[in-house]
Amino acid sequence: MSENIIEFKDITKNFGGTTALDHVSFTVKKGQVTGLVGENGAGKSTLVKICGGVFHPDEGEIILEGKKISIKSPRQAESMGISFVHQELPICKNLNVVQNIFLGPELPGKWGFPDKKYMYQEAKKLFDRLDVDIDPHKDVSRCSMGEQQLIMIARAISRDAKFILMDEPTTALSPKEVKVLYNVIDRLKEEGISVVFISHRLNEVQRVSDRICVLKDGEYVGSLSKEEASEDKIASMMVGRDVKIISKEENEDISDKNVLEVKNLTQQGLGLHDINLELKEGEILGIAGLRGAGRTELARSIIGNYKIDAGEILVEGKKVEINSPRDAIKNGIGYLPEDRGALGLFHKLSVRDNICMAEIDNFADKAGLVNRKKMNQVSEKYKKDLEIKMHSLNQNIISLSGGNQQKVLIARWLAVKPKILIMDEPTRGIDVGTKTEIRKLIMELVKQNFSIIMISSEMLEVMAISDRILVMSQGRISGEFSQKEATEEKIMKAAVAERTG
Amino acid sequence: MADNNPQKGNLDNESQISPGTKFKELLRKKEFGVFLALLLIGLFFTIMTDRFLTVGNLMNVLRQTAVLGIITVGMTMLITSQEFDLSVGSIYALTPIIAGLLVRDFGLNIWVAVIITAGVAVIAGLINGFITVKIGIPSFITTLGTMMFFRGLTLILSDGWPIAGLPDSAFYSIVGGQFFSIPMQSIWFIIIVLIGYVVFERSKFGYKIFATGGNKEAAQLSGINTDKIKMICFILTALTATFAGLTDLGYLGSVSPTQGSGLELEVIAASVIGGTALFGGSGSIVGAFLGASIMGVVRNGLTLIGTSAYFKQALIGLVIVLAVIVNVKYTSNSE
Ligand SMILES: Nc1ncnc2c1ncn2[C@@H]1O[C@H](COP(=O)(O)OP(=O)(O)OP(=O)(O)O)[C@@H](O)[C@H]1O
Ligand SMILES: [Mg+2]
Repeated sequence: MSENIIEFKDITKNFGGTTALDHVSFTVKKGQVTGLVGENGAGKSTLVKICGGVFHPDEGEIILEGKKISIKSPRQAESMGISFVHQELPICKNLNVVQNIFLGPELPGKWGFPDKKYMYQEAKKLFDRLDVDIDPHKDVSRCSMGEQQLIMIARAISRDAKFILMDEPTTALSPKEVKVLYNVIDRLKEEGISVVFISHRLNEVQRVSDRICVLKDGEYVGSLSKEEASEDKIASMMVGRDVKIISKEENEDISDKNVLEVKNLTQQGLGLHDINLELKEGEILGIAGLRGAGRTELARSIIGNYKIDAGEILVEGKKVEINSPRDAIKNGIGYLPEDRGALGLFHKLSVRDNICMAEIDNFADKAGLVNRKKMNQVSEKYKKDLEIKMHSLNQNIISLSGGNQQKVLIARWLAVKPKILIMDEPTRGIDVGTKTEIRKLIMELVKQNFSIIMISSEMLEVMAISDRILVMSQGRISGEFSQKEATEEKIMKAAVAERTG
Repeated sequence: MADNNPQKGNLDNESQISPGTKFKELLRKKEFGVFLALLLIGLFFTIMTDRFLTVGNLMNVLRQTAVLGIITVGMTMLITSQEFDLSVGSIYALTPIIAGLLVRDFGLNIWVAVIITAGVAVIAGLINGFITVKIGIPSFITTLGTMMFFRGLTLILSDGWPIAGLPDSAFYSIVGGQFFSIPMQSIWFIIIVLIGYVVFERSKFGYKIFATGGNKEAAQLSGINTDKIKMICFILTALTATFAGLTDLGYLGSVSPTQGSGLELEVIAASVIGGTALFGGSGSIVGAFLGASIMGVVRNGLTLIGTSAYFKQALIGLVIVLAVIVNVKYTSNSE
């Protein structure tokens, strides 16, 4: 089992002025799970994309099972047994599970007619092999993110993958789905399939990996074996210094004035029932709960994305009519969405334009002409404040690493300065060091009279910075705790609370 | 291309400027691909005939391209906002016909008629916009319908006859005459391109078009009224079609109810040659100008070398595809 499946030798990749990878060399052993960690923009995704045939290295070699190879396209990578599972899953939403697994040049069947029965049975077998339970006839559009990922993994092993790359596979999964994924990874290992696993959640990396490799600023820093690794050790290797987990001291500045009140909010279609909440000036209100508990739906109902069936919303004590996110902004409520790609980014625009878009009216003079200089100044400020890694403000947003894109979206709202900011999973895809920075920033914001609602699936995060915590379950508020009362146990219990009556 | 950053996103205008990088960055501009295509086509005709590269002829090309180019400016904004308008060819006939009728049959002053005509254009744009945005019919279908409807209306109103012989007015020479032997149509073309450039690439409204077409949901969450933006783009497109029609009325002194059929596709082609993304979110006015110019140069060049009309049709089709290929290849290589 000590054979190498793949060996990277001096891989270098430049994008214009940025060196994403700088002579990176390391090997992956057969049947091992290699964790790959590093700060935002360290080059993890780039490395994985090179291996998956999306990018071509400027320098260096890839050696697969002792043979030097050059990978020209994702299809070629697949034919060599290298599969790539990432967040923007290349899944066809209008097809069902079976079709998604077998879609490709070698569709099983005769004379161009796919053999449906055979494919169904094969799909069943694949899922049995992975020990997961998914109905092969289900439409993919009705599958959860977790299921979609498993479909991609099934697809990979149906093509005899020897080596599977997973780029932040867990960011969109519920804790339960993460467990399923762990099992699947264990199964893959048993079958001798090697896995590279990228995540910013170090506990996950530690749990699944046999060895953990660290990248920093495009360079290979070193690796830790499973036995050596601890979260602290990994973190300090990644960041190059010790990372302190901040904890919150009691916030004295919360006034008893309510900036936001939601009364009896009900939205049948989304399953939200009779929700009441209040947010005090200068408060950080955490909303915890499991995926699917209705937290995002609640946030988007408050900002007028969804029409509510009953209930009212009061801002600073006055009842307001909010029918669109636009109305919400006018009333001083901003929303940082959870789904960065679909709801946040303007994919074809520059970093600067992405930062300034929600505030564009205020960058314009009386004639409606936009002042570029002012936009540059403001963007420059947030680039510094949030340490957004990029080489130019004119750079296209999609050429930033995932975590840095997230920071750009946070900057967009900081530029608007709404009184009330609802942040939905604000630290998703952000590295440990920066996470701390962003948490600090959130705590800083409330001192400047922002009031914040923070939705997060990371319980520790909610507990670390919230003044008060609401827990949601099945579209209802199922618990409320002050910072002092809150424990992981209590929150979990409320989060899984079944509806009674 | 007086400006140093026409395409949002691609160019780095405040980085260390050495002559070398400046030239490289010029090459990286999205419009450079179209510019290259135009240059190559120009070179081809210059070699093929010595009548092509003369001041007189180039001026002529600019005038002949004006109608196409003016509408392409509006269409580029509309496509960038992620909508289409197939009814521009019909509007281009409908509104000057209405102006002509008001003058000939109702004895209105042409200036008054023009103002009413502009109102008609706004209504046409509102109809397209309303059906598309508020009722939710894809604009391709909506405007396919209104294309036929407006054309039919034009034929009904004019009874199928051209309108000519209108009483003299300064209006006609202002929109379609000459200024020191420069055709007014080419001057208007340039003016509309400049205005379009400022509106589309310098104003907050322009930014909102990019946002709306690039990611509608994200735009809404950023407080942008995407319905309103699209609606205005429809209106602007109808207005450019109307203005183009009026300049032709000035130049020719007449208007035909069948003019401009098939124009809509040429306009879309010009816009796409100029680098406008078919599915919205990116586009440029400089590109639109160059795209329309390519269409104009090809048509003019082929006439000069004496190609038959049938051949011309086929060749123009080929050039459209080739120009888009050059542009797409160039853009993807320089990334
Ligand atoms: N297409 C591209 N064009 C230009 N620069 C790019 C491109 N893709 C990546 N980069 C740059 O390369 C660097 C490494 O990016 P990469 O996406 O590999 O980081 P990452 O380690 O995956 O980070 P994250 O944890 O935030 O996802 C970043 O500085 C990024 O801006
Ligand atoms: Mg990444």
